[in-house]
Amino acid sequence: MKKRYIGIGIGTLLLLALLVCSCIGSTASTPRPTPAPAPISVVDGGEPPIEEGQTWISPGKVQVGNFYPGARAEWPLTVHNGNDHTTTFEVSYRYPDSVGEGYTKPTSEVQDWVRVADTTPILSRYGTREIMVILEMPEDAVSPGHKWEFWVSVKDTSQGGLVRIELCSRWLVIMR
Amino acid sequence: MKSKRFLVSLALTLALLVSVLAPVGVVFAAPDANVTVTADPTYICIENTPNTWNLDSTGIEVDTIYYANPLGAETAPSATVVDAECRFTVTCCTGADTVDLTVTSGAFTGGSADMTNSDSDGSNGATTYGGFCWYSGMTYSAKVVMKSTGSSEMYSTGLAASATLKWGAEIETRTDAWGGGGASTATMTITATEH
Repeated sequence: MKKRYIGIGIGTLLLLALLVCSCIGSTASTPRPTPAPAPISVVDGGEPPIEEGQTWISPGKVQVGNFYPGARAEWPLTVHNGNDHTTTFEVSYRYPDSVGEGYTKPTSEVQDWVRVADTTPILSRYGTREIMVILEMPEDAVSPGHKWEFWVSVKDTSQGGLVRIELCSRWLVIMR
Repeated sequence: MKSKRFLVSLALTLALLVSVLAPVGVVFAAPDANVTVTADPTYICIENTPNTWNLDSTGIEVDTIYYANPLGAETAPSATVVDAECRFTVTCCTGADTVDLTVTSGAFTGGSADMTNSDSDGSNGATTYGGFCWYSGMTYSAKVVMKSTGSSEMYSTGLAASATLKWGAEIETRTDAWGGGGASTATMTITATEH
């Protein structure tokens, strides 16, 4: 009789194990929508360490991990207008001149995966604004590599003269 | 009695099942980890002065190299570039992150001496100019080609907060003649990225 109970127990165990494993397996193969990351405050802990009167952007580097076709990642880029007058900035995807060690340059398709919430923000004198940058890779897209990089460029369009300044935020992407 | 034993057996089985599958669940969940996005609150900020450069106030000629060198518009820097030979000064703002610097140079337009960047090895040609940039302390022969896009980094060792770098550039004008005397202008861009 004892053998019968043990047999029933083992049978139940195997049946439940099969059921649970099949559920876990299907979950693992279905990409979940990327939750929006909790944005950090670039002025966390007080005022930025940059003197007033200087234009800056933050952060300088965004790191995306576990990325995959169909996934989405976003992060706010903060732009500060160091001019004492209202200024229009130009914020855009930028093909990198160089990339970090082990990273590859993006394919031409990548520019279509990057969206900037406001490409021509107008900032009041000494004004600061967060502009959302969204990286969304189509499900049928092919990654430029396992590790790849692109830049987001910020230019003060009021700059005159021959030499202009461009500030870029680097996005370093590592695929799953 | 029999049903009691059966229930005890079932309870033990379920307990065993949970203890076995819990770690399995962790192992299976790893490939499904969410996308991670992280960034440090770093700041990118540079200043550059002056922002002007007249290749030669007396007018430029074809197939000639002009330097952003205060010692002379047609004077090449020394084998090891010194501060006095650099027209521009770039400063990484106090409190900002260490940056690398890249210089690009677009087409000269709007006048009689229009020319595009050859975007090759820095050499000039018919209707195209060649360009290089360099900085104080570097070996001049290691100067970096200025392209309209995709230049290599001019300064890749990182300019720290509050530090300055003296730098200059040179343009070799197009090989073929131009007509008229209207000035053409171009835009050079110095790009800062986190080191």
